[in-house]
Amino acid sequence: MYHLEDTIAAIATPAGVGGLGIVRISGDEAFPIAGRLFMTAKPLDRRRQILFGKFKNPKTGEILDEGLLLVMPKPHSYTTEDVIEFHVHGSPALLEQLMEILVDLGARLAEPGEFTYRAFLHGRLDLAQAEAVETMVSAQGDAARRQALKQLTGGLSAHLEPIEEVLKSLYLKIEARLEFSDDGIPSLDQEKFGKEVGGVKEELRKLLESYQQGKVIREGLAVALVGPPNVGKSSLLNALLGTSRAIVTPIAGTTRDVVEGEIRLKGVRIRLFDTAGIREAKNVVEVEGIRRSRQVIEEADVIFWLVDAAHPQESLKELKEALLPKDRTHYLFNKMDLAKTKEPWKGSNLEKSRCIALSCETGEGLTQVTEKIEKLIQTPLGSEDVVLTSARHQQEIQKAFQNLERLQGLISAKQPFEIWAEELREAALSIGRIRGRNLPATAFEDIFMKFCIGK
Amino acid sequence: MSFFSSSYDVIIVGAGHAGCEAALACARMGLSTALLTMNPDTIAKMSCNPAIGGLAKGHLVREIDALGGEMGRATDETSIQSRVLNRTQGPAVWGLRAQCDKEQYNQRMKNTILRQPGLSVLQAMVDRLMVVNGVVKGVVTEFGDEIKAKAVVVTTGTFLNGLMHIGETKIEGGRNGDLSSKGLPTHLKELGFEVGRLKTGTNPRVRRESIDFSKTEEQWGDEDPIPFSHFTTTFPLQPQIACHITYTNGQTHQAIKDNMSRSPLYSGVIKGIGPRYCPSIEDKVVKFPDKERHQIFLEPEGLSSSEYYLNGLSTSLPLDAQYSFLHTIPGLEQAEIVRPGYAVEYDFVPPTQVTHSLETYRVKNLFLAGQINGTSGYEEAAAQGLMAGINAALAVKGLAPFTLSRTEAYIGVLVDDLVTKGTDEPYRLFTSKAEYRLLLRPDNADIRLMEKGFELGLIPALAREAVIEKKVQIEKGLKGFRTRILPPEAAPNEALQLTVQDRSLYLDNIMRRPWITYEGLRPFLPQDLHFDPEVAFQIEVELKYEGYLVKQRQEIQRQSRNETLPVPHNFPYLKVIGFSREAKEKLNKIRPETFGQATRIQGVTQADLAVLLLAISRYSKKQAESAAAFVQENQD
Ligand SMILES: Cc1cc2nc3c(=O)[nH]c(=O)nc-3n(C[C@H](O)[C@H](O)[C@H](O)COP(=O)(O)OP(=O)(O)OC[C@H]3O[C@@H](n4cnc5c(N)ncnc54)[C@H](O)[C@@H]3O)c2cc1C
Repeated sequence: MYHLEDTIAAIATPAGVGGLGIVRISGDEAFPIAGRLFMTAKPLDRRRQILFGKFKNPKTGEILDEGLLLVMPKPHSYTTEDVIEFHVHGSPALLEQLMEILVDLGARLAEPGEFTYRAFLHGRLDLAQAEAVETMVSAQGDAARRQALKQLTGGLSAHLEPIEEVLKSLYLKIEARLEFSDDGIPSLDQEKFGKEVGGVKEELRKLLESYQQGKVIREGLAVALVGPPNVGKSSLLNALLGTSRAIVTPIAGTTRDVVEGEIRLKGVRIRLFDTAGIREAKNVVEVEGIRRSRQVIEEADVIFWLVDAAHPQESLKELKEALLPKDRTHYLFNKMDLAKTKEPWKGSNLEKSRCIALSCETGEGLTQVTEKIEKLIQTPLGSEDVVLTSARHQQEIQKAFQNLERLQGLISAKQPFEIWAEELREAALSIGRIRGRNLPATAFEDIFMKFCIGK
Repeated sequence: MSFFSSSYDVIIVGAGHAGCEAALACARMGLSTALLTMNPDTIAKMSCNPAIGGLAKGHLVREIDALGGEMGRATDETSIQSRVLNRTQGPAVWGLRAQCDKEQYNQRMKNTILRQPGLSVLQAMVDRLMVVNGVVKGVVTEFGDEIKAKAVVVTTGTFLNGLMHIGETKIEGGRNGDLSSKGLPTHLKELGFEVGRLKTGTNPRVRRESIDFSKTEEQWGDEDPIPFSHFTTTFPLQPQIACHITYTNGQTHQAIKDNMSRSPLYSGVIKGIGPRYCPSIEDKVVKFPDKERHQIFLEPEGLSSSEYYLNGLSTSLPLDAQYSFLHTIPGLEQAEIVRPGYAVEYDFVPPTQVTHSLETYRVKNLFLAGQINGTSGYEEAAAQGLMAGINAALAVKGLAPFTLSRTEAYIGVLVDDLVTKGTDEPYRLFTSKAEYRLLLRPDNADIRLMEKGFELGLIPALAREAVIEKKVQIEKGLKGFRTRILPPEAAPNEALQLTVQDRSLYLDNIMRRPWITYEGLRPFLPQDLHFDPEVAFQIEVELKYEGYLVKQRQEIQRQSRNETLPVPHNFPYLKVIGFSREAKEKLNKIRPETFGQATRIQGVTQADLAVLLLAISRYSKKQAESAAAFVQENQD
């Protein structure tokens, strides 16, 4: 359980990365604590400011580091409490030592998500915004960061506000006729009503579509490289990465486990998975490798099936047994430098547009491969469109969408008003929940437990 | 005082709709009860319109009846026109409504009260309560007589500092022809109660003989009227008569505007807040200037009465102005006013000062019910009166309070709204205030509540057995419909729009089609699925709403964990860091009994609730720890 009266502290930068380390504290004790750690001529005044100076261990007097002090007095801080940040060198040992000293001085280590929890509790963020923070923390690509920022400034909430309003007004139209049926209210223009329902439904549909794109932005795009052993999957991975990461040997079955690499295209994280072959395994190690390959294929957004262009028949035969989802699979004919024909897919029933001629040796076709991936990203980056990024939001909007779909059915089947009202009320509640209203409070704790600390 | 026993179990102050139900409930629960009223002639008097029921209000009357209250029976016996509002919609939103003969109604109720064993009636104006150490001990009348009681229910309606307005004229009184009660509100303030001010109004009554009905539309009741009471067997008992409809017009509106400066509502004389859902004609004209006409119902006040109630024309304009606008309305050109319309301002006790059992927090065994709690309407008053009476009786018996939740009854919604949200206008119940509207139907009030009524001693054993049997039959029927397919003889059938393909469908699927009714299917149903009409109706409704009912029942189950999480009454809200200022104030004032109640307090955001949840668990942990420490210390 979070104790709100404590002053909390956390390291805000990822462990062991980069030159900069940030430690952040929030709460009533932030000023006195910082005052003892940071060496200044005069006591810290309560002003929004950035100071440069030295940090010392108040017990020993030892100078720890030189750096910046960011001072954000309440209520104009992320948590709306007094917040102070120490920007120092990113050495893990130094950061650990700082934390120890802070705890010594009376701060408490923050629980996961606690800064955001406080921000939320103090009305600084609505629920959609709070979740955007989570997205931002875990998002690793620039695109995700931009999208997350947009939600943080209320993008999704603002977008949903008019939708919620329309739903409420539709709901009220029905309620008015039920509650005041004797009061001479003109009867409902059902055609117009139906159109308005359709309009909101369309808005929700667009949002749902954006979720697919949103998912790519948030989680990156997963690309699985699959095919018979020794067909060049690891070479392709390395070619795409531009490094030599996977162990590439000509012995079939070397890549026993799934090897992962990461590149960025158009600001989106592309995760590449080099799988073990999925042919019948000969030993336990291979069995495990194949199981994992299957899982990767299951979850991948794109699957590249590699074919040995020199001996296409064998690879294609194995392809049949592999039972890949056709709509996500593309076929790369590797080793074109050894191929006998320019279009080795001829004679197979593969769609031509899904086939690429490739040679990891010569580099032929590599740009087509990256272009293929880029096409799949299709992010609306820079545009004003709001993209759904959270699974919870998607679920609520999906629910509201279904409410409206059922409502359309009720309207055309001439079902009574009170069940129309039921669908509308639920739809409005779903949208309201995204915006942090009417949600049972227990759900909140779970949401906040998922957050990384320090944003 | 010698002729009057000076000690009772329970005293009810006020014999309006709340007071009558409270008094009858207490007496029927076996307690010696006294009903004190300023005027025994006005027992259960309808202060305003001569009708009972409507949307949500009709639901309340059904529930009152299922708990053993009197209002439903009295209405059925005196009804002169019965109509179900929204009959083209589903039964969850049917609004049972009856025009009553006003005089008959109040006679009927008065006699029931006077004949009730264990219940004494006394004409007396109560000025003070006897309170010792925070517990009520009785009342003191305006003549200084002291009457002792173990519990007191106050149901004084619009009478506390009642002030009537007709134009610029002000008359002290709680209702046309009645006095104002001035000692009691002062005394309540002395006891520390917060007291607020509200306003309501009523319409002019005109002579039947002066109305030209040929210029109006006739409106009749239903041909197959539905009674309110579960115990009514023959209905209707009296000849049914018509109401009439006419409309205001531009001239009417002009006449009103011309006199607006003389309206106490608009000249700022009236300070109390009036109901938005029941606006005066002045309000309607000002707030909806584009509306060309407003509908007026001409409602007879009784079979033998010559007075007509002009529903839709509530006003507090001076008498000459009332005449000038009335005479512009078709049918009312020659209308003679018998009683002018007027507005009344009165004190109320904001209901956040009572618990769900309607007992005040401040004074033990003191209960408040009806308009004094900020509500408006006979049915709202009666429902609270019943609950307060039951709880006063239980308190005297030393038994746990009887409350209903929002998931069980409209009465639960009403009380929870009042004690949780308070009100700053006269509160009226609506069906949309019930989250589980499809479950809380007028048609299943008996199934929901009658067994509870029996346990309280207000419903006879026979009725309870009948309900239990009814439930068994319904279950049997539902099972039958879910497991049998449509008999081949039933399809094809043009009238029922059934095709050969439907033969393979289960009966419940067929029933879900909007145009299919149980009665329509009855000829094709196997013998064991033939039920009496009431059971059949339940089967039909349950199946029609099925998907929604299942969902609502699930929702109720899901929410109940935190819903019932108790919050200590002395919880230190002011010490918790993290509440918004508004939430802190509201929580501190309302002091919710459960977490569920806190979730419904206006101005308490989700963030505040998250804090509250954390704070409660921390608080109870601390309490537990200090208790443990205490035990520990005492063991050492
Ligand atoms: C002018 C007017 C207009 C109204 N308009 C509407 C409307 O448009 N719609 C609507 O729904 N409702 C309306 N009502 C309200 C409706 O009449 C009440 O809500 C309902 O009657 C309240 O019931 P009750 O039992 O709380 O109080 P009441 O029916 O008012 O009864 C109060 C009782 O308490 C007694 N009493 C009061 N003080 C004392 C005392 N000190 N000692 C002893 N006895 C006392 C009185 O004699 C009376 O018997 C109106 C009421 C009035 C007066």
